[in-house]
Amino acid sequence: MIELRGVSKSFGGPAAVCELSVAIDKGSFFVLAGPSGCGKTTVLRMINALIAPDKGEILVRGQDVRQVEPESLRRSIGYVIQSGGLFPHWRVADNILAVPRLLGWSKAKCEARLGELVALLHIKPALIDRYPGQLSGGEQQRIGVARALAADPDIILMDEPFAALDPVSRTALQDELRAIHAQTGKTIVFVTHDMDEALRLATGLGLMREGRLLQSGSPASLLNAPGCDFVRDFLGGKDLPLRQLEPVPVRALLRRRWTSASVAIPADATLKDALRMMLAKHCASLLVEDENGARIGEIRLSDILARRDQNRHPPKSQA
Amino acid sequence: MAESASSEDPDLNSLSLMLRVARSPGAWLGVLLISAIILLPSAAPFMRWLFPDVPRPVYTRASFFELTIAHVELTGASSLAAAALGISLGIFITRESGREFAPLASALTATAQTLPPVAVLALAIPSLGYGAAPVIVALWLYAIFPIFEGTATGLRAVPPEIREAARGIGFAPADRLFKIELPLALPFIFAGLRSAVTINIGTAAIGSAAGALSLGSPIIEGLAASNPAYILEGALVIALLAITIDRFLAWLEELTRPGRTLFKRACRASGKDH
Repeated sequence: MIELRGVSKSFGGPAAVCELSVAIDKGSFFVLAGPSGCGKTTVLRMINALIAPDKGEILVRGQDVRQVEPESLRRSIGYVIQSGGLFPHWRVADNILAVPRLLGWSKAKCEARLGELVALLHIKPALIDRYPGQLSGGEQQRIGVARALAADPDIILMDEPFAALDPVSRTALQDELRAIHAQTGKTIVFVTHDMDEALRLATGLGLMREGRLLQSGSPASLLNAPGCDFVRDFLGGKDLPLRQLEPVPVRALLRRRWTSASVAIPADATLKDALRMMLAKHCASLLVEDENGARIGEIRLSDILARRDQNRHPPKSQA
Repeated sequence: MAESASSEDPDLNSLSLMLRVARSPGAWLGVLLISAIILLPSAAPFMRWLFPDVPRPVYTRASFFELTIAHVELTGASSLAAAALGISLGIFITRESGREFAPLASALTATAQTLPPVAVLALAIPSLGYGAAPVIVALWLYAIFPIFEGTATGLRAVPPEIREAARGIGFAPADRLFKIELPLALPFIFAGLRSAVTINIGTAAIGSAAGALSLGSPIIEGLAASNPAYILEGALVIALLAITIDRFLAWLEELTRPGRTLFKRACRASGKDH
């Protein structure tokens, strides 16, 4: 869906992005992580041609971005930035419908789409006629996401969209984004410096440092085989063993047998959730339930401890 | 919520509008201005009491209505021309292609304002002759700077993330300018326009020295004939005109701000509503 081949960019000083190559598959949730100033935002902004690379090529949907008119390329790609960037003189509805209107959608089509987005993102209908300044940070960012989704693009770029939010709003928006991704199968490229966020969301993960992509792959593959000390440290250092439990669902270690355990956990929860619950409830095994609340087996602490080859269980996005 | 409820009811709405107008100082200043224009010709007894030594204490060579219209024409023409140049220049130097010209444009417009209008007038008369033309040129030069500065400041004050967002979601440069940047810069542009117009109304009085009809005519004549009553009359109407127009522009600016009733109505009328 998106491919960067040997891309370099410098803003006069040392290279902001250096010889970077990566391919992002259709439908993946690719998180580009790294410390501040590592060039991840520059990579993102090169994908929608906000920045032109000095060297290398960038293909979006198989087409070199330099051969597409920048405005029409950008209108076909959702874009969310950290501060929201909502237009303060436009009401929420006008902000959300910015791109459909640029594309010349009919009034009826816009109206219908607005309704869909309000439902999809659980936007309070009362907010629709307000101005961005009257909204909380979390609400503004929700509108920012709705604006990116408005014209139903198959690619969405997000530049630390939740970094400035309080933990509650952030978690809520992360959950919703994950659900939307699972529902729509859009290709999402997400930039963050927050590893917890990266591991919560990613189906593909790339780690950058000083303009270079150090390692990329599934979150599990990075967690289980960090290529260098920097990757290990950034992924969690001493917490790495705990983080390794993050991309693995309970389902992967499920024992389909009758159990006497009384504390239940959903099958889609992560092993980390399971471990946390075991610690909290002082028990070494948990009852596993499926989406409908039916008992389907148990999970044991000893199985989590005995887990060796985690790569056998690729991460599954939540249903 | 309460606001939208009241706008549903036309009677309540017009009543509240009337109340708002009655409460605004601008409306009263307007009334005062019109009264001054109408009543000054018959204010001879009052003026005689104020200035007992002056034989003819009320200016009668032209009606104050005529003088006011001429005055408004002078300031209006020069301010419009200054706005056209100042706003275009402000837009130009905040574009990628014009950024390098910013210091030059600032210096030139500032210099234009530091030239005393009287001097400009004197210098312009030989080529433009007596009358309104040299006055309009002098006032125009004087008014470019505040409008230009307001426009440039306003466009620079648009938060970079908003400009970035507009670019990133696919606004073409012209869309960005007209739909995002200029509307957000409007309060600054209006502030520049207001100060330019207010200064111009005061300064236009010197126009009568170049033979143009204006509210400065009684003042110039009063100076020549040592008639302080004429000076007071001209100055009074000029001051009232300046404040009234300043209030009017302030009101206009309020209306163009997002979230104001008229702004919403304008949006609705332009079909931006759903």
